Amino acid sequence: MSARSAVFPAYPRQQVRLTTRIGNWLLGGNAALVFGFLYLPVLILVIFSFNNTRSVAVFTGFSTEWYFSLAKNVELLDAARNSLLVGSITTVFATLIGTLTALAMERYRFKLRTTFDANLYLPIVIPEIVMGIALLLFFNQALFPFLQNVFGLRGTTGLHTITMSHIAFDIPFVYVIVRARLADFDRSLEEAAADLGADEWQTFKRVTLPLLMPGIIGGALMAFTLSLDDYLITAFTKGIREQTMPLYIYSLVRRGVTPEINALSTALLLGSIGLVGLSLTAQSGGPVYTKAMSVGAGLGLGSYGLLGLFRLLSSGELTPGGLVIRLLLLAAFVWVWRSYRGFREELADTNRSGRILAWITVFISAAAALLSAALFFL
Amino acid sequence: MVNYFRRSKVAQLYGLISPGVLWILLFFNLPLLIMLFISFVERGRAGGIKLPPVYTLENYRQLFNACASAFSGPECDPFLYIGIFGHSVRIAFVVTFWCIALGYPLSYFISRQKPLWRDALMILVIIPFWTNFLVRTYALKQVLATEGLLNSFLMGVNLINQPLDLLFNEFAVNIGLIYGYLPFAVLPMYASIEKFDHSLMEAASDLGAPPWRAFLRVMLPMTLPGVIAALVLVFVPVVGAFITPDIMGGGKIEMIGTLINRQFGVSRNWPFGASMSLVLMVLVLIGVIAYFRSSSEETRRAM
Repeated sequence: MSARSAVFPAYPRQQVRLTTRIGNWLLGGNAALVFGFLYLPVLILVIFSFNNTRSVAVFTGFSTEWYFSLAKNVELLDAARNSLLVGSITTVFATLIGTLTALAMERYRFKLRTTFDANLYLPIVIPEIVMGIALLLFFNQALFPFLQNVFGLRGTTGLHTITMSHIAFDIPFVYVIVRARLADFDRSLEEAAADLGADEWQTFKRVTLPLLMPGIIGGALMAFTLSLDDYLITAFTKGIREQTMPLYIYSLVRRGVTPEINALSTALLLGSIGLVGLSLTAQSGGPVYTKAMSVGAGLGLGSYGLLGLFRLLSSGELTPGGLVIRLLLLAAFVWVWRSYRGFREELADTNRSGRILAWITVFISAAAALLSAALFFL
Repeated sequence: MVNYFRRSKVAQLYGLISPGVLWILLFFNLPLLIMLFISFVERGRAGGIKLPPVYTLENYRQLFNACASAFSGPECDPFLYIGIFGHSVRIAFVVTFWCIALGYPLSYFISRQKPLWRDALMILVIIPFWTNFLVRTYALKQVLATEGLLNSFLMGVNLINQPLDLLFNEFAVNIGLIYGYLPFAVLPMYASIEKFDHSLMEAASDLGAPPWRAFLRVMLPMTLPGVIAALVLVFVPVVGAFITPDIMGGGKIEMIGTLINRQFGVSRNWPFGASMSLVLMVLVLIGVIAYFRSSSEETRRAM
């Protein structure tokens, strides 16, 4: 030690401490600055959504009038419904296809495997506008003329072209998330299942799939959020009439700054935070949370079905379409009944704070499902 | 049928992979090929292409010489489009610089907190990822607007007499892009710094290195993969950004994204838009491939 200090004179301890103290102040200041920069505008946005005048600079009094004007805005409700429709169809297909692709790429060896892997990353890395333009050109200059000339069909853009495009750019995200989960997978569990006499399909259904579930749900929520939020690709593949939520917001935001946009944005923020919460608990928490989500979603849909059925019966008009939808939603209750047992079993093995979090998860999922159903079948 | 799937590995593989391959080929690779094709043909009168297609290199020549087009007026700047490309790249560098300059110390700060705080702060970093990008951009816009909070505040405390023009200029676009992409920079740098063994800094200090030298010689080199990942993750989306320059620039600031968008709107020059999209894509891919070549598998996994 002493021989070394002769060569490298040690700095006095005092000086080192002083530097670290100033350094800590600077680091803390930087952190406060960055978080302030990221969150103050959002906070202000939320506060002024409750303003009782049109100003977004001077808070004159509390009011919820902007939220009520949102609920009456037909154009907005239509856009929200379209977004939900596109988002849910996209999520189902992208999650299914993305998961299958991840399984194939992780578990099998074949020609062109690495090429296709790189190809799957491309939609994530290339600028969104490039993909939007490519899809616009593809639909208008290739697919529609082809359908016209070969089959005599007239193709048009609309919600269906938006959905197809969203599926295409969501598959890679689901793929990446599920594949990461598969890479960490302990395959000895599958071997154990095989040793106990399970065939390949049973092993997949009873061992692989449940263990993959957090990744799949995380991927699905990611796909849903990306689809709901997307503006650029939607703008290039949309039809003439239907719009989605981001298209509607964009047209408002370009025009100017109003408290209605603040109210709408606040509602969306709440939705996003709910989704992040669900996604994080699904990915990092145990199976109790995924089960909680399933119970909650069923509960929300089912209670909407029940409410709708009462209204339908009391008004005396039994339209077949409405009845089918309500019965489908009621089937959600049966689903809840079945998943509730599994949820209770898991709940018994969870500690107190985990149980509280699980019930919060049930509540958020139920609220989200009820709201979506109400908006959708209004 | 089911038995066939159970027996044959090849059948299983085809079953699993074909939906993904078909969808991606049809709705991603084929559209890119069509775009490549259209970038080499002449434009139609009202959007679209001239039929039957006439092959031309005009769309690429126009990019490097804006006056090559028959529509150009007498006061024509031949480097108009190249200038916009250069401008976008410059904005992307400035934004990337600030994202890393603010994000690196933040990542370090977060990594030094107690676990509970660390998780809470990281959630704060992640939330913007999941928040609607439009909503976030709008939040910033309403603060900077002429009748917005910042101007009212500055006028209220008598720092300024009349509202500043904080929107619809390059400053606004830069701030908007930093606001939008800062979280993208924090995530990979945090992943790198969190794995860094801080006792190495003490070792450097014991060996006589002052803190700044210990940082430059030990910590920075070891966390460089995270910094480079941040550079790529911010630079790539920013260079092709459209929403932020359009909203924060109010049509006054031209970037590649807004220029491409205009070819499909008022300019109605689809082939030229296609050629610019391709150049933008190649530009971005060069960056990404360079990154993948230089970084090891391990550092990418860490992200």
